[in-house]
Amino acid sequence: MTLFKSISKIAIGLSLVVSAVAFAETAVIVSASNGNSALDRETIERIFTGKSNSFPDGTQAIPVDQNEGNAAREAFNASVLGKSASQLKAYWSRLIFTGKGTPPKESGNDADVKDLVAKNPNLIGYVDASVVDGSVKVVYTF
Amino acid sequence: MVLKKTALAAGILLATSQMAYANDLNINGFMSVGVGTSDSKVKINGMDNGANFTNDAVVGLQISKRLNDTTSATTQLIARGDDGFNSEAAWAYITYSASDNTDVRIGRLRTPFFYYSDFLEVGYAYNWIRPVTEVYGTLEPFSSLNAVDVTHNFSFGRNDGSVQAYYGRYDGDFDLPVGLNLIPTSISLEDAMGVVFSATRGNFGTRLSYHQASVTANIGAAPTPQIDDRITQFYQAALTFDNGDIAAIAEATQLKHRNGGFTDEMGYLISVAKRLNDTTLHLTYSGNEDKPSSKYNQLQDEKQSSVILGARFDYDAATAFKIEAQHTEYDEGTANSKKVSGMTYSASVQLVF
Repeated sequence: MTLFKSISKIAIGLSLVVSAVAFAETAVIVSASNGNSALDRETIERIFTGKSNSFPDGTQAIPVDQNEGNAAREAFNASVLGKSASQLKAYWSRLIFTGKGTPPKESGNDADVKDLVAKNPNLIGYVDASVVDGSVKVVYTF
Repeated sequence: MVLKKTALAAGILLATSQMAYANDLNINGFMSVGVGTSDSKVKINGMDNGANFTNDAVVGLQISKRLNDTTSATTQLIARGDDGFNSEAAWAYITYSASDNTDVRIGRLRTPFFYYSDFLEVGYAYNWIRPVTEVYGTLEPFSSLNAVDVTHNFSFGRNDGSVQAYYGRYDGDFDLPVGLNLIPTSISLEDAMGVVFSATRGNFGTRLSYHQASVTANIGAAPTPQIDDRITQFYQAALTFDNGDIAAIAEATQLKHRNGGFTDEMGYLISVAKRLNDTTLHLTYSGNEDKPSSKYNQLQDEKQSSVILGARFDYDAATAFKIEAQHTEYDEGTANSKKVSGMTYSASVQLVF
């Protein structure tokens, strides 16, 4: 009986680990009141690199970043922007020193970004999928 | 007592106004330091066969302040090693946002001749240690201009781009290279104007521009200007590709004078870079050819070309270490032609903050 209990505990433990791995997914989010549903990777990349400043429905889009070093930011840079932190720094220094653009504002961690985005339909951010709730809408996952 | 209170009030006022400034005052900077040498007794890229420290040294500080919702002021101070570290304002302008997509700037601007013009001295922004001389050496004295410009950004479908138009004037002195000599020249560019079109689609980009000015110049110490109010035109085209792992650029320029004092010039470069984690390897071929226009002058037909092989190492997200080897050939183009060739080797640390 004791043996069975500990085996089932291990099984529960394992299934938790497995589900945690499965959910280590990053979600690109907009406010629940934003009119856009799904966005493709290229649209998100254009907004986060300052090339485009509107959502597909024409409303203004303002990207927000997580702080440097956060897991979600690294995943986002690699999977959506396809660039290293240094490449992005070089990209933005081409625009900063001409007054032609500024990088997205660093706005904290998963929870901070979710709260900010929930409140403003013009914002777009990315968070670990585990913090997503009804106040925001997932438009892309990776 | 009254005095003390006033001092306290002033202190509080100062503290609050400093906080207000902190919110909308942006300070950014960049810096490059390096060393280079060549195997030639003749200077190549401004370097002889000793250790040369000042050529690639540059420090820049940019301060911008938002004045209100639509207006901001920006200044960029630059000090260059090859200029005795005297600082100059490369930029100092007011930006007015006429709409979300349209900006008007007035003041001292960087002349947008080339693909890399806007960030010419921000070494961190590109892979080379310095912009390629064969292309970027052209028009170097006129890299900043007192002007007004309008930039309009647009998107259509998957394409994003901008159109920039400017109008301004330049007056100044520079040393005109004639063969291997430099001749002091005073020059003014009136009605200096141009239009720049840039667009990107996915990993591809393009930049096309046209510039012209009415040139009056006094070469050497002649009593009257040899060039009086003659039009000079400049054309530029660049194509870029960047998918994160492989980047490439091809750029070509053409300078055309309608006077006998200056030679027409054609420049081009093609460069490819491959990223391997934190290291980027790059290879460039560039050339420049002076073409005396038969109609206006018979100056010599100079040619220069270079091959650059280099590597960039990114230690962290704001500092890069770069090394480069460059082979340059120069041909004066006269009957008993004087040919010079040589290698230059350089290393540099470049950062932004």
